[in-house]
Amino acid sequence: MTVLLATGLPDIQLETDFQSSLPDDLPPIQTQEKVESEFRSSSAIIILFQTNEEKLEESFVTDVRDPELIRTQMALKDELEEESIVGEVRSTASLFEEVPESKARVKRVVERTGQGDQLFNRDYTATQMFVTLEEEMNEENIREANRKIRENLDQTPKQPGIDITITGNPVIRTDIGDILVSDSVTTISIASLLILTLLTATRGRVYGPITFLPLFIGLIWTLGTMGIAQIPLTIATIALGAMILGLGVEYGSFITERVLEEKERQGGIEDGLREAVPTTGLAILGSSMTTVVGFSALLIASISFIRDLGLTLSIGIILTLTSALVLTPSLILEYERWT
Amino acid sequence: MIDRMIDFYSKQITEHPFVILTALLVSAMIIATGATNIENVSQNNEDFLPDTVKSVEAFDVIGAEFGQGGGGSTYTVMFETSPKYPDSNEIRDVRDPELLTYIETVSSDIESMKEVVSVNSAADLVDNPSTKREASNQLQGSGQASSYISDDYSFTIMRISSTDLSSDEANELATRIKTSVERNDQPAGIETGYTGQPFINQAFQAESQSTQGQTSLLSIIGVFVVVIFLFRSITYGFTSLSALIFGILTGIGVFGWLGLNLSPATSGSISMGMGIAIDFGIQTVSRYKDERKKLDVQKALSEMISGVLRPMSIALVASIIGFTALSFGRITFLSSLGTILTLTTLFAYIGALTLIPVLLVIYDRYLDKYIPDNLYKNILR
Repeated sequence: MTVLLATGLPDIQLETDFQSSLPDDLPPIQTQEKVESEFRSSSAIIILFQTNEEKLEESFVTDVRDPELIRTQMALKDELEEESIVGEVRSTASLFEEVPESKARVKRVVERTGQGDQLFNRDYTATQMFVTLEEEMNEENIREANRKIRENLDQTPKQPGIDITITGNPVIRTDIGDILVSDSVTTISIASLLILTLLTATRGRVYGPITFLPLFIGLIWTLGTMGIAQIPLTIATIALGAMILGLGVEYGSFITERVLEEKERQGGIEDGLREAVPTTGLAILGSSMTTVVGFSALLIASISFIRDLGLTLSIGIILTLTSALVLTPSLILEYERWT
Repeated sequence: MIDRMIDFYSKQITEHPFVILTALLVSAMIIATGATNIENVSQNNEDFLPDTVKSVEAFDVIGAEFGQGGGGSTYTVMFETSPKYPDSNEIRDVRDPELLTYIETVSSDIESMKEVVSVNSAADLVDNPSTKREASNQLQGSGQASSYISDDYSFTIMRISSTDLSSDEANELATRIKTSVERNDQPAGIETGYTGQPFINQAFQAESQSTQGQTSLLSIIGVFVVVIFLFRSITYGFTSLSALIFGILTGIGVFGWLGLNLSPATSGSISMGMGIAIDFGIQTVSRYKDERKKLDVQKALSEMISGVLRPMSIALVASIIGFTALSFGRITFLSSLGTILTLTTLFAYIGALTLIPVLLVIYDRYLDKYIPDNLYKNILR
């Protein structure tokens, strides 16, 4: 069962579009969809060009109206427009057919268009280039566009003294995706380590890991189920791993404690198990039921990622409980027989 | 040593239940007032990441230096034709001079707001057209009509960029933009829609607040029903629920005193807290019921506390470990989520060991004769 469910792990999808979790019938969402279906998405990838004050040298560009910077932007624009995924590229360079001969000319042309506020900041140390996509702004296309922009940036001759950063809402979404994955791994690892240490300290170096293993297997089942059922990893479900470990630990812990108590009382492990498992099992079944009911209330939420959270936490509690009820007594029995 | 302390504690509860109950309720109420400091704040994508992430750092620069697009405060107003009566004078084409004049008036009104950097619309592309034909020619000549007018001329948009604003200020500006659009006399047959991040954030906030209320209510009702079935007793069901209510009220109160706020991402935390906190109530009440079958009130209380103290403490520490691990993530709201869950669980633990024993003693000593334990069975019968 573990192997089967673990096959779902690589299929866990990422959902970083915060807005997509809102119900479609909300007026601002309906208007947004209508506007974006007709006009290109207002959410563009932005390439920020900033003068670098720290490494100021004579040859460095110190004003973003410098024709040399326009040359760089023109070259980058030409390269990017060759890419099939890129739709429109807009920057100061879009206002010129050829590289302007002086800063004064750049100033004049920009003033004439009235776009100075959008293109330059007040002290002319920053300027931006907007890149919109030809395709839909989904996770895959944004990553692809981001990669193409980086490749083209690497190949474009750059001016000394200029720092270039890629940003904008779409890029931040892909960064959220990357951090969601790394945060899940970090929080699960830290919670696992601390809980294993706590169990080892309170139950000993054999029964500690015996109590922890079913819990961890229950977590694998839960994450695998997320992959198979296509429940995405979102900003809300990222907390799932650490929470399941924190909440599920008591099931195995109660079973171990009670089995060992009954083993002493009954004089043998098999009799101890027969006595302990049905009573403790029923007690933790009752307490987990209330937890599942509490979490299930989230299923009525109108925000989809809160619903996903309620669903995954409920599944997680049921699976860690099942794992604790089935595996913990078996592991204790095997260990007792072996010794 | 611990046993003696538990005996002493049980004796105090048995002898002075009303004094302890009053002290607990008064302190719970004082702590719970902190909840009034909690605000439901909106969140943009960039708010989930720390400022040290390069793309966020650059986004902040754009917000501060350019005050548009990047700063997240771009508002879009859509004007759509929606004629209701056939053969009426209602507007059926957004190139109608009457509509363009109206948009120009609204545009000037919004432009005068000090937070607004620019307002762009189809009205900028025409110069006082008197007929639709003239307006069409001027729009066509500008070469930019397709940026503001749909292909079938059924709707047009106005884009407003603001300076870098806090979420409260952005919300307030959104409301003022709406007021400005609505207070100018709109031509007949035109409907207005609003979008852009601040309008979406407003909707998100409203949704998360109502979600929070609904899920919390459903959660508490669901949990109450389950505990009544578990104990086959309304009284014991309610008693076990009291630790949860105590934990949620005081936990949220402390959360407020700490100056923390709820956001759409943490809006499910109260229901989650309820699901977690109820465990302690169930454990204490069920153990007391078992002990009470063979012991008197004070002894049963003492046995109950010493019996549940260790497993409940381990469960509490393990839960707090899980929640604290969330603070090690880089996603910003995770530590708030960890804090709120830690607080509600911790206070539910305290409630289970203070409020529940007091309520059990009061019930056993003073109320049992008026509200029998088998009330549940009587109701079902």
